[in-house]
Amino acid sequence: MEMKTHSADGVMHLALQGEFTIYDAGIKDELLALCAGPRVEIDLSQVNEIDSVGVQLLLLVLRQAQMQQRSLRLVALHPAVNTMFELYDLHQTFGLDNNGELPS
Amino acid sequence: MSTDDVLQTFVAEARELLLGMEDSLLALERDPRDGEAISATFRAIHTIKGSAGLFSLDQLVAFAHVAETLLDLVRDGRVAVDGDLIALLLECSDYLGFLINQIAGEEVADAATQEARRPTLLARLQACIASSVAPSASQAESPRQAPPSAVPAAGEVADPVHNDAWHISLRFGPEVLKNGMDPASFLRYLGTLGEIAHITTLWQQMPAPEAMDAENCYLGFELDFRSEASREAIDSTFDFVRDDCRITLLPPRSSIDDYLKLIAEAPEGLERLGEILVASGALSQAELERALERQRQAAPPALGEMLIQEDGIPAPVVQAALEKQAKGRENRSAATRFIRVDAEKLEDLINQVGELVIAGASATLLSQRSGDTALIEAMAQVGRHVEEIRDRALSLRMVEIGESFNRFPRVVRDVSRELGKDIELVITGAETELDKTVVEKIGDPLMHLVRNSMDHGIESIEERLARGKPAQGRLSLHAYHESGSIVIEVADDGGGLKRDKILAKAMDRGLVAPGQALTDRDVFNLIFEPGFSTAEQVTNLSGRGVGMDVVRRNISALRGSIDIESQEGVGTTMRIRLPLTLAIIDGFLIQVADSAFVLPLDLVQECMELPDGERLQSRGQSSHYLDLRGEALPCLRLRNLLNLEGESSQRENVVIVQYGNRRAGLVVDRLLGEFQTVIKPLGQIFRHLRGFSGSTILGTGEVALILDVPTLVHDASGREARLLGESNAGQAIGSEQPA
Repeated sequence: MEMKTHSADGVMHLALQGEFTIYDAGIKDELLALCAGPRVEIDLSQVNEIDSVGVQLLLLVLRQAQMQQRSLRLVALHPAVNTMFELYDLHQTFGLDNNGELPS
Repeated sequence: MSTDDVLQTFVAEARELLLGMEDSLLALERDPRDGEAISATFRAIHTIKGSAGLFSLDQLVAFAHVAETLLDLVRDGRVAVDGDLIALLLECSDYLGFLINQIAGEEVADAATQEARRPTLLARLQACIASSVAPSASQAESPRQAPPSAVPAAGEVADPVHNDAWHISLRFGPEVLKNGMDPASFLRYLGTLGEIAHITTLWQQMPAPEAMDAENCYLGFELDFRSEASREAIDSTFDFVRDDCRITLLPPRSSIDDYLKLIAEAPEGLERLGEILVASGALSQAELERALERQRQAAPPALGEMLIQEDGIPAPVVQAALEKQAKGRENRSAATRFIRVDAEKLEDLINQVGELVIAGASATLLSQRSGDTALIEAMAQVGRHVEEIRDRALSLRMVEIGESFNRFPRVVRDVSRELGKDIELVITGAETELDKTVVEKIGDPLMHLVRNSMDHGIESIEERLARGKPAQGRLSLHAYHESGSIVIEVADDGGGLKRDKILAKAMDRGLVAPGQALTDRDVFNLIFEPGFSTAEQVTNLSGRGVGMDVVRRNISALRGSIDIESQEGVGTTMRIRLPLTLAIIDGFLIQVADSAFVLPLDLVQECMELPDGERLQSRGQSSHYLDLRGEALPCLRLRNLLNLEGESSQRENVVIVQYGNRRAGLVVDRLLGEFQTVIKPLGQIFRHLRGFSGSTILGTGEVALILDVPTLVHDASGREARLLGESNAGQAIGSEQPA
């Protein structure tokens, strides 16, 4: 998996690309570091495969952000991610509506 | 398969399970926090109970049920694991073993005593159950194993909830992902059986980032599931993760008690799970409150209640049967690798192969006489195949010696407790293969040696510390192959044999004449004489002097031998040497005068021509020494030894045989070469004949005797020692003449 970042207006934008599976378990620390800013957006539109390891890592960064009262949002979901969230019923957890869209 | 066959399978399986359970319990004793060992013990009992239920073995089921209940509490950490608990469970395992022996239709000598243990054991189990902490539910059944309501038939379930969907509670173990399984795939599969009405993913158990291993699974699910599928089908979804996953399956309209139990056992805590269940619609708020209310009132089940539950067997039996089927699927892949074959069929096969070998030898002989090259070649080909078939057939009966080592961890544990010693058992070479019949017969002698080493060999803790040894004694069982034999060593690091004491005792008993010079080995071997024991204290284990002679007799009956190596203060090693097979061997055919004899080829080291000079000297004497590359080799002239008359050949040969670490030369007339030898036992009349271990039939139809090499080697080297000893003794007595 690849991670691309750029920041604008104080928002760290993190785009994950490729597969996000158990083979990517090693990115845990890097991912936490990248998501440590006060305002973070994660773009999952290019993540074409995700498994429970990926889901757990996303839950981990989400919980860290919530505990430290930072803002962390998922801004776009690849259909593969959307299906997984549906299966685990996690949309609400990530503050998304049931279509994987940000509630307006 | 008839019911009888199935029952036999049950008996065999149950015995294996009990053995496994014993291992787990011993592991648990070493490490009381070993969760895997607890689960394995639980599973063993659970499976035995389940299978026994299928045969309506009510006695067994009722007992196993109580043990299972306790183990379930142990698994949940509500009963602490300690020495007493393990001792109790081991006794239960013994008692179950006794019940199974009875079921197998075996004669049990002390049946009444065994049966008398039942009430005591039950009472002790109940006492442990009653002592469990945090008794939370009104019934002590396991979550996996079952709501008593396997089938949601109307009117049968006490106090059902309104939820008309299945409720499935899953907590995946940490290793699941590493094992290549993703919870998502199970949920997807479940989706093919019905509709997941509601799911709550529980991930709050995930630890803080530093402690979190991204490859571990921290997920759990509470889901409501609508499906027409059978319980079995739903349950089987989780076959692959059953061992590292907590699965609770509640059928539609389950008893509220079942939900209560689920809530009480959830790692998330009572409140949280209650909320989840209400949120998911599994329970209404009112139902939840009713359940919690009931929990506050619940007291630990009284003994009477437990017994009533026990009697209400049918429902759990159905459940156990279902689970057994699920389990069966898991085991099937392993089962296909082995086939259970009646030992008698193998016996028949080996006998047939034996006949084939004999017939082959005679055909080969005829072909050679005919001088027809093509025929000879063809027969040689057949001969090679026969040899291969023989080896394969014999290897069918080979089993790993580990099978008879299996019971020793338990024995060592029990005996060391009894004696108040701390003894570690080290087993090596358990994979060494040995003929099945030998393995069966070696069990008892081994047991005796092991007990003997623990009792007399290894010193008490104080004594060990005083001698500067570690407090923990060490007993090792070691097996390995050595030139056609298997060697089994029982070694301890105890006090060693006291040579002087043994000698004094032997003289006392008149086994040894005063002044007779004996090697250490000879002295040590005295302990195998009937009625010999040097123990100062007779314990109930050993010390009565029965046994060691029986050990030697049993081993001799297997054509084996035993000897002892010991160093005072350092330890003792008993070495049992046994022939690998009892049926067919590679032989070496020799001729003395007009008779043919067979030597086991494995024991033959080399052959050489008897030097002329030696020949002349050795005439008329039955023994002699030969200079074998600078080493004095004791020799036996078979012609003289066996008193054979007949034409002697011009060139005599020496066959050098080795047994253990002793060698001897056998002077023979002719060497006839290799010969596949089917061992036929000697008749009763010849049983006491020294020097022969059996007979065989040659290709010509003649009978040839098989020479007993161990005895011959022993005699040859013994003669040397005796001759030396006599001259030494003479000197010794001479010098000790009173002045």
